[in-house]
Parts: sequence; structure tokens; C-alpha cells
Amino acid sequence: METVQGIPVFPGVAICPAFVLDREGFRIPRHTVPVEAVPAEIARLDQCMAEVRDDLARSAREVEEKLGPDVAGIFSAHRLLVGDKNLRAKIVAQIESTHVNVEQAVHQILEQYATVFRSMRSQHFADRGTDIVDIERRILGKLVGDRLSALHDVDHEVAVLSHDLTPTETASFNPKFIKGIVTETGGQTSHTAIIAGAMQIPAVVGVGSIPAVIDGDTVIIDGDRGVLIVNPDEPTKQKYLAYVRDGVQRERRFDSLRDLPADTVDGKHITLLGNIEFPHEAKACLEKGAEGIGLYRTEFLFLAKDEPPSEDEQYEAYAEVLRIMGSDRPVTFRTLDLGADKIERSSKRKPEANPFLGLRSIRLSLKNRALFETQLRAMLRASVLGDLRIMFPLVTTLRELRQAKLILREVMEDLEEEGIAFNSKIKVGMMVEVPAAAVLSQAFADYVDFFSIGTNDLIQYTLAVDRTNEVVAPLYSASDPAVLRLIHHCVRAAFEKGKSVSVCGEMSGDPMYVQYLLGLGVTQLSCAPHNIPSVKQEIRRTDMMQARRVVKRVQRIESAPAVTKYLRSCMPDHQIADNRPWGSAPPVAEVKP
Amino acid sequence: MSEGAAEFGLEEMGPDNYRCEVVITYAEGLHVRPCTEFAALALTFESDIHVHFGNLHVDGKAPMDLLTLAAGAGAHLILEARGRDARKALAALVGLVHSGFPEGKAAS
Repeated sequence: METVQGIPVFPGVAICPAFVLDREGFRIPRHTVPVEAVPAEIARLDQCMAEVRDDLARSAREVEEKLGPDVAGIFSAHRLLVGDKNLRAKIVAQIESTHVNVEQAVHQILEQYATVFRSMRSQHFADRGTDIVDIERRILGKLVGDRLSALHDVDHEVAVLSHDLTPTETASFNPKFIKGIVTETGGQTSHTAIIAGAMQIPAVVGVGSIPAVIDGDTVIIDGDRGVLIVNPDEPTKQKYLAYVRDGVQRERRFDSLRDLPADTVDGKHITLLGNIEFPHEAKACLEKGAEGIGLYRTEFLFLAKDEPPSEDEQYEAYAEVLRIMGSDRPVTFRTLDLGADKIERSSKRKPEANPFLGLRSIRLSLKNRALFETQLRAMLRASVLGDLRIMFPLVTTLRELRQAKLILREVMEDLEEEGIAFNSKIKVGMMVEVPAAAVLSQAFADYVDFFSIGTNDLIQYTLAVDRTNEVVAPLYSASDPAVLRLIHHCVRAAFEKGKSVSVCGEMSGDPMYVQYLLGLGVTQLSCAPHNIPSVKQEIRRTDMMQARRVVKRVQRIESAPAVTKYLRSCMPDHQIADNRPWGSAPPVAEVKP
Repeated sequence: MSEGAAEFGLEEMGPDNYRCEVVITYAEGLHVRPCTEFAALALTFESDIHVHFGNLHVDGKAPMDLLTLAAGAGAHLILEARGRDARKALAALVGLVHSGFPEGKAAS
């Protein structure tokens, strides 16, 4: 049994056989070749190698015209490597001696070479492993053909494990049989997240490295906690099966909560909102009893296609959400929160060394005004359909906020001139997710109608930790006193300036933090639709006097694990925690080092 | 030893069998392109070509294997040729190594 931690992007649990797409997505077929078929297998090899050499020669010519001889030299060199007679001899010998099919033989022999390179002490030569991988990919690409054709033909339930997935690849997914997805790369806004959301199947991304697993091995994809378990032992499997059963029961129990108000024991009303990514999720929010949408991530429109969506396409999607929610329920639209790499896929822009500290989110919008203005126009046009609010993400400096508001005002003036209706009193807010913004929240408050504290990024930036890096992931915790202090500071600043403040991010979907956040004075929580019932249940158990005592107590605790332990002990009902397959310890504690 | 051979420091090991030590001065070492160029040139000769580096030795006509030597700048290699055109082959290969693998020779 092996367990890896990633980022949960769609909830639920899948327990089923694995379907592995290797690092480059090939599913390398493996079968035994009868003696009489060996010559045919070798003929396939020769045919394929000849085609690969032709392809490389063509690539070299094309690249030479475009980029000059230096780059073309790489293709010429690869062509000569593929033509290496010893390489062919080794692959042939592998087929003849072990009777494996040509795909396996190619994979095994090239893996031998790649291993030699990877073990080299000189980084310079060790990097040559990538040349070998590239060559292997080309050869296998010829031999295997479409990397996902095998997946397309699958006829039983599977969980797909892959390095990465792109929209075109996932287009062939059959929702009938694909029950979960895990990818090594990606974040909350990756294609995988989009696909999982559209297919409504549990998904975990950014696990870093998938443990050794072969097709047919049992895997558990825990989309609630962001965990992949390969070959679970029997007790773990039983626990999860029970968890799934309990989950169904809990869902039923929670159904009765839907129409009850999110009021504390002593009658304080909390506005419980949903976070959504797709328009259709708005329905789920209503079904779970959300009063509105506290965070509508607009990225999916931009990720689903290579080109940024047009104003009308955006308007349609935005209008759909508002139509579902009705005219009275608030819907907070967050403007584009993506890195430059996701928007200009075809551009020659160099990949950033540090995308999370790079040109993303509001920074990208301010640099790319056309993109930003188009989105704002679409939002403003939709604003007449309901209670639409606009929120800017990743604001770090006052200057950025002022610039963004200036552009918004200009777009409003344009619309006015064109005689297009919009809500001129639209509420404008910002995400507080960069420590700089939290520290200066008093100053920021003068320029906005509301704050929304985005805990995911706030934790990452405050603690300087990448949660997808399993070595440091345990540091990532909403319970960290530094994070809590920043949240506290921001909430107080909002109150002093008479502005409203909500908390979104995973922290607000965890019942464990409900008492603490309410105790701070937070009156709006926004979380994923599936978390709404358990959060509401916790709100309805909360006594504000007690909640304020919890805050006082937490302020004196110095470490994240101690805060977590204390907050868990405060939960009036241990039922939820104890039903979790991982017990009551904080999730990360279970991850193998 | 025949005339000319000494210029390259050729050492005659036996009939149609020559060796020669070369030092890689090319900053990148025996990288992908130099390896493929070396092997491409070696393939134009009938003789068997071997390349020794420390206790490793590989077929000089196999670019993949040459690459596994990981011979960086400053590496001392022993080139060995066996066959009818051994001397000519070695002279050409030593020449290529000494020339520092100018671009474009692998075009064949």
C-alpha cells in the first residue's frame, strides 16, 4: 500500500482498478510474441524506425528554415541516434530472447539507456536522459498510435492515473467507465479539475509522482482529502467502503438541513455561500442550501479552449449562473486568476521559473488590457440579470487595485456611451490572499466594498510552502498561527471600515474552523457546494459566546498541530471526524514521508 | 610506424590495428551531436572502431553507446581501429575530435 497526497479538485471516493497512462501518456502494451511471429515483430520495428528517421529528417528541415541550423541539429542528431545499429541489435535481441512485443522491447532497452544517463554524476550528461525519453516517445508514438485509443476502448470501470491530461485527450473519456482521475501535475484550475468537474468524478491533481502501479491494481481516489492510495490493504479498503456507505447516509441526513437557516444556537445568522467553477454547479449550490455564490471562478472558460473566450461566450456563461441563482441571490465573480502560460499557450513566452510568483491573476489582467476589458464588459452586461459582484484576485499593492478599478470605470463609460445597460452601483471587492494585502487590509478597505479572504493562496504565500511538494506539504496548514493572525487582522480591518468580509478557500469548507471563524466575527462563509451541509450543521451548533472563547484560546497556541488538535476537541460532535477513514488526526500527518 | 601516423600520435598495435589517444577539448564534451557526428564518420569506414574511456569501451559506430561514456571536456579517450582502412579511419576521427566538432558535419 502506498499513499500520496495531492490537491483535491472534485470530491467523492472511487475504489476501482487503475488504468495507467505513463509519463507521456502511452499505455505500453505488453504481450508475448510466439516464435513464428518474431520476424514480423522485427519487421514492425524496422518499418517504424525508418518512419521515425523520416519524420526527424523532415522536422530538421522544417526547423532549420524557421529557427536555423542550431536547433535543427538536435533533430539530425536524434535521427542518427535512432539509426544506431547497436540500438536496433539490442532491441532485436530483446525480442528474440524474451519474446516480448516490440513496444516493450523498445521501452525496456531505451529505459536501460535512460537509466545510465540519469545515474551520471555530471548534470550535463544526466540531462541526456531527456533525449532518450524523447526518442522513446517518438518511436512508441508510431507503434502505439493514439495514446488514448486504448482508454477509449475500455469496457469496465477504471480510475485514470496520468502525468497530465489535456482537453483533447479527455474528450474521449467515457463517463460510464471512468470513475476517477489522478494526475501528477496540475492545480485547482488545471484541465483535469475542469474535466472532473464536468464529469462529476473524484479527482486529485498535483500528487507529484504516482507510485509504482500497473493496470488493474486497485486504487482509492479520495477526492475529499486529495489522496491517492495504491494497492490499499484490506483494513484501509474496508474503512473506505464504510466511508462511502456512511457518506451516502450522511448526504441523506444533510438533506434535511437544506431548508433550515444557517443560524447559530443564539440566533446569529451566517450567510453561507458556494464556490463554483462551472455554471452548472450553481444548481448544486441551491440544492445544498447556499444563499448565493461567494466565489465564481471564471477560469474554466479560458482553459477549455486554446483561444480566450469572446465577450459573448463569457456573457452567456455568466448569464447562465445568474439565471440559475435568480435575481436576489448574490454571486461574486472573480476575474481571471490564471498564469500567463495558461492563456497564451501558443506564445513564445518563456516558461516562468516561478509561476506562483510570476505574471498571473490580476497582474496578467492589468498587463493584458484587452483580455481584462472583455471580461469586465461581459460581467457588466450580465450585471442587470441579478446581484452580480466583481472581485479582483491576487491584489498585492494599492496601485494594482486602483488600476483595476480605473479600468472597470472606463469599461463602464464605454458601455454607457454605447447605451448598453449595466448595474452602475455594482459592488467591487478584492481577494485577500497575498500577505501584503492582509497586512495592509486597513488601507485596502477604503477602496473596496468587500474583502474575500482566499485562504489557499494566503497559506501558501504566508508559509512559503507548495502543498504539492510532499516533502514540505505538512507545513501547509490553515491552523498556522501566522495565517490565523493575518485572517484576524483582515477581518478586524474590514469591521473598522464598515466593509463586509467573507472567507473562501478550503478552510471555510472545513467544519473544524467554523467556530473559530465565527468567533472572529466572520458572517459570510463560502465553500464548495458539497461542504455546505457539514458547515451549516456546524454553524447551527455554534454558540457565539463559546466561539469567541475559542478565538481567545487559539491566540495563545503557538503551533499549527496544537491549534488543529484544540479545534478538533472543540467540535461538539466527533461523529464526522471519526467517520473519516484517516481517523481524527490532521490529514497530512498520514502521508508517508 | 608509417609516416604521417606520428603526426596524430598513432600507435601501431599490430597489422591493421591502430590506437591513438585524444583529449576532448570541446566544451560540451562528447554530447549528443558530437557523438552522432563521430559515429557517422566512423560508419564510413570498413574497420571496427572502438572508443576506450577509463575502464569503459564502446563501439565507435554506435552513437547511443558513445553517449553513455559521458566524456566531458578534458576527457582522455583512446580511439582504436581494426581493419583494412584502420589507419585512414583513425586519422579522420582524430581529425574530427581535434577540429572540435564544427556544426553541420552530421548532415549525411
